[in-house]
Amino acid sequence: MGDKTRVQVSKLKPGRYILIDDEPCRIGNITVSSPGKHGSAKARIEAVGIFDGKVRSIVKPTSAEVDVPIIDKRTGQIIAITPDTVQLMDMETYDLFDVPIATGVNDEIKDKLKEGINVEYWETLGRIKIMKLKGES
Amino acid sequence: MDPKKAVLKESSTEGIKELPITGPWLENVDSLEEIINYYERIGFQATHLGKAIEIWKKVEKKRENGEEVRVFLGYTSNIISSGVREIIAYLVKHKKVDVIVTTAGGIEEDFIKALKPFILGDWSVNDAEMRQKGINRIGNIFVPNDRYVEFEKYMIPFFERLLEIERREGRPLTASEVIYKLGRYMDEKLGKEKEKSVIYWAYKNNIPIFCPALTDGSFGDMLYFFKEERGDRELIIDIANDIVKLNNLAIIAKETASIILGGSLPKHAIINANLFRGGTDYAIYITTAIPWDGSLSGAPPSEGVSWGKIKAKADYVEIWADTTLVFPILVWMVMKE
Repeated sequence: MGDKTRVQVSKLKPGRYILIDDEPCRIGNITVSSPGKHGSAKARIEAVGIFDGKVRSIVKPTSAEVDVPIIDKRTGQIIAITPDTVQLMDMETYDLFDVPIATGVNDEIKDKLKEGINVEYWETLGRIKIMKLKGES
Repeated sequence: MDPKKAVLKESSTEGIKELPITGPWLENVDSLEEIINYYERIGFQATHLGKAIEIWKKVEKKRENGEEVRVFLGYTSNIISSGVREIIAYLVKHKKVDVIVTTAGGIEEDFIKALKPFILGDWSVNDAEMRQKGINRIGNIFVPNDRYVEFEKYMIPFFERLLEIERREGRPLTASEVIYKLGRYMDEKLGKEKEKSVIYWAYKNNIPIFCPALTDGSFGDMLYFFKEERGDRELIIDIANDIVKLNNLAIIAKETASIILGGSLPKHAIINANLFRGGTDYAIYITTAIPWDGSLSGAPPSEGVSWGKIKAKADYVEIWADTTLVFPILVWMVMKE
C-alpha cells in the first residue's frame, strides 16, 4: 500500500508532500520566479524528508509534473515496546508489524510511547513512521 | 593691452592645411552617397564618420588585393537588440570580418530573432506595467517574455547535446566552440529566418565568435535552471583556452583592424589581444561613452596607444555617436560604393 501520483508543480503548496530523490518530503518553502528572460516560470521547492529529516531542494518549471507520495494515515495500537522496536497492530486490519524506534518514530513522541496506547502512523511507498499519539485505547 | 588688438589678433595658418568646412549644396546632389562624401568636410562627428569610411576602405582595398588584414569586430548586446544586427550578419555572410567578440546578449538575442522578432516600443512607458504584461524593455525596443520562453525550448536540448559532446570528448568546450555548435544547431533546427543571423553565418564561414562572459545573460539563466533541475555539475564552459585562441589570432596576422561598436568587454578583449602584436594597425571606435570618468568604454584610440594596444602610427578614428545612426551608413559607403 502507499503509492505515488503526478502533480503539476504549480499546484504544490507548503505543507504538502513531494518525492525528491525517491524520499517522501514535506514541503517547507516554495519560491517562484515569474516568466522572464530566464524562460518560463520556475519554482524552487525546499522540503524536509519525512523519514530522515534531511532538507532537500529542487528546481522545476511550474508547468512540470513531479512525483508526489500518496500517504496513508492509519491508526495503530502499540502492542509491545523493546529497546529498539515498537510492535504495532493496525486497528483496521489487525496486521502486526515491527517499527524501528530510531527511524520509524517522530522524535517528539519517542519518549511518550506506552504499551496499549493508540498512535497515528503513516505508510507510504512501503515505509512506515509513527507520527503522533491518539490517547489510550 | 589694446582691446582691439586682443579681438583682432593676427592669425597664422602655418603648418595647417587649409581645408574649407563645407556641407553639400542640396541643389547639386542626386543621392545620399554624395552627401555622405561631404561628411569629412562638415566638421564634428560627421568628419569622424568620413574618416572612418576612408580607413575601412583602405582595409578593404588591401584585402581585395590579397593582403592580409585580419578584421576584429566587437559589439555589445544592445547592438544586436537593434536592427544593426542585420548589418552585422551581412558583414559576416560576406566574410568582411574575421573575428568577433561580443557579450551574452549579442549571442542569445541573435538566436531569438531567428525565432521571433523584437518589437518597436517606447522609451517612456510605465515599466511596472510592462513587467505585469511580461514585456521587457531595451530602450525603445520591446521584448515580450514569450521570446525567451520559446528560446528555452531550444536551449534545454542544446545543453543536453553539449553535455553529450563533452562526455564523448572528455573535455569541456570553450565558449567559442559552444557558439560554433549553436550555429550548427540553428542550421539544423531553424527555418529561413536563420539566414539573417550572425551566429549562423559565423558557423557557415568558420568565423570564431568569442564571448568570455557567456553566462551573463538569458543563456546563463537557462544554464542555471538546467543545472539546478538536474543537479548537474558536469557541463562546463571553458574560457581559459579561448584566450589562447583569441590572442594568437591577433599575433599571427600580418596586419589587423579593430572595429568596435560600444565599449566594455568586447572593446577591451579586442584591443588587448592586439597588445600581443604591438598594437592594431587600424581602429574605428563608435561609442557614446565619455572619457572623463576614466572608463575604458569612453577611452579614445589614443589612450590605447599608451598601452601598446593600438600602434602609435596606426590609422584610427573615434566617432562619438549612437551606432544605430552611424554604422549602416558606414558599412554601405565602404562595401557598396
